[in-house]
Amino acid sequence: MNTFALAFAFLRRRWGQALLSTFVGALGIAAVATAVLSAGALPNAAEQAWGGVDLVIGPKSSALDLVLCCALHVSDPSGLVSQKAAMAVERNPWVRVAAPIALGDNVRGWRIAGTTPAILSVYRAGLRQGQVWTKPLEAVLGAAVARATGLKIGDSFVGAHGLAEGGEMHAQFPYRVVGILKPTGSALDRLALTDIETVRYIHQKHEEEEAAESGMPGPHIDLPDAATAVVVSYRTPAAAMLLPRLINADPQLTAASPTFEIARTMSYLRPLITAAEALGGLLVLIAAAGAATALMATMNARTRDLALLRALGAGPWRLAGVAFAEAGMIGVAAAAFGLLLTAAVFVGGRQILAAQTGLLLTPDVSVSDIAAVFAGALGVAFVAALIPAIRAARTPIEELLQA
Amino acid sequence: MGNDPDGKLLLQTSDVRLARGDKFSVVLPDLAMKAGEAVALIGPSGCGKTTALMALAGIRPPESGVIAIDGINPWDLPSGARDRFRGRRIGLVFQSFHLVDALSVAANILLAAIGAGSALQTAERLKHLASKLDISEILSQRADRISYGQAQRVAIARALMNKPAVMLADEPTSALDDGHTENLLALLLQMAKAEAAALVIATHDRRVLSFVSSVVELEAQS
Repeated sequence: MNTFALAFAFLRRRWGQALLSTFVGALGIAAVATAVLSAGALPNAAEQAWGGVDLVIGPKSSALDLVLCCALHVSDPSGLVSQKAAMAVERNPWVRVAAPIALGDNVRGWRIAGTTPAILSVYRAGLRQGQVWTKPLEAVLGAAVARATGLKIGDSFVGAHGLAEGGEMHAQFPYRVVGILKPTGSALDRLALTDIETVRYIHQKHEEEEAAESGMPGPHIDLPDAATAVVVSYRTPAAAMLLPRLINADPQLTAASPTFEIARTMSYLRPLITAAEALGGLLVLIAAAGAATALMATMNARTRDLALLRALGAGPWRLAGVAFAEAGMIGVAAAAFGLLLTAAVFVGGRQILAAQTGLLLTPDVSVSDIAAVFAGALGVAFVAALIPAIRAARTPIEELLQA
Repeated sequence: MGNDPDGKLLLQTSDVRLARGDKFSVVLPDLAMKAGEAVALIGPSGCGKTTALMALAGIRPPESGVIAIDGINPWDLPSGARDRFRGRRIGLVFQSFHLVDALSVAANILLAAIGAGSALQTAERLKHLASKLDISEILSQRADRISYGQAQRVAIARALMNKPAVMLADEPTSALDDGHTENLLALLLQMAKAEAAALVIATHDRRVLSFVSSVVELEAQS
């Protein structure tokens, strides 16, 4: 039996205290690790989610709303734009490709986006199965949609009105699945794509039916070529400098850069992330104080045992070593448990986050990061054990002989 | 004491004077003990028996005089070396045994080797002592789950683990009835002889006197 085995035996005797210290420490580590990893992964996740979309052109509205709605597909549209006007950008030599998007329906909660096949080029997406739509009411499913709905090539589905599940069904317009996309990690995975004219037609019919039911005159179509937005991929990075400014000069259009808008949002979130990190740090400090208190109590309760070790020949350093070994074990266990908790948060939370925000967080964790967590936990544990270790080293033997 | 002219002296004291603050001082009669010999330091409570044991064990320094354990004066050694020397050459049996209840019986005995950083063949030594003291069956049990009599044997095994030159027992019989006193003293003497150690018993219990080869009366001087 060595010092570590002895320390472990002592810990086992007061397992409740040890477990509590470990748990509090693990919570602190998990809080800090989650905040740091999320902050690191968020920009990459956002960049991955908007794929190759360099610019979103929509009606005059909030640029961030436009990005959230039509690049990340997590919020509702704020208006319509003339496809012709917005697609005029396609002729600009700085633009590699542009595709219109018309939103308004969903299949089992997944958005149906009316568009053109050019959108696959914008997102740099490819087909896993089947082909691109060539006729009205043909659909190509994003990887996540296909996985979640179980729809296969040749299957039919009916869209529902609105972007959330539960809207009125367009039963007379069943779609047929003709293609399924490869996973891209982008918002495209969560879309069902179809011909933009199909979406316009279904919506026109829907409005005509509503007008007929209410006895009102037929719908007045302001924009026969209405689109929710146009997504653009640049040919050259230099386009980012001038193109948005040119488009924003148009009184009908807004040009929003996902990169710029997300960076702006991240700068707003920075204090929140800092607060989360500070809270995690505070939890680590509380854990350290808890561990120190628990160790002090343990050492006090163990004065006789430590005195016995001294009587049996153990020097002060050996006794201090027992205290450090105990603290170290709690530190290592807290680090391991904390990292497991962090992994559980990411495994459990990333799909929920992806469904709600379109951001698929993939934290970049290296072996040195993990080593740093263990080193940090050990450092805190050793600081917490310092006073108990000094007390242990000074344990008098005389009392033992007189007890 | 020390009647065998050929035997090696394991414990020798000369002109040792002990003090405990300004409470008392006591002169320890000179001792010269060989392997297997037993001496009782006897006297009323507060006469300095425990103080004498502390001096012999290298825990509290004597006011003056010389102590030699197996030819070495522990008080000539630096603190760390003195701790190790105590662990390796002196076996301590405490009044209330002081077993660590979180540990198994085997681990309690091995504590002596851990404390002293002993290089002895611990597994073999443990097996040997457990067999001699008839505790082989309880080695894996936790120390708080064994009987009082078994705890006595475990405490003796721990004191002997590092093959000490001297065993020091502090009031080992103070809480025992006659039967248990007889058993314990017989066991201590038997093991001291078997393990070739000198045995010093500090006690106020006069029942011990008939078991030891010599008696030293201590009297505190205010």
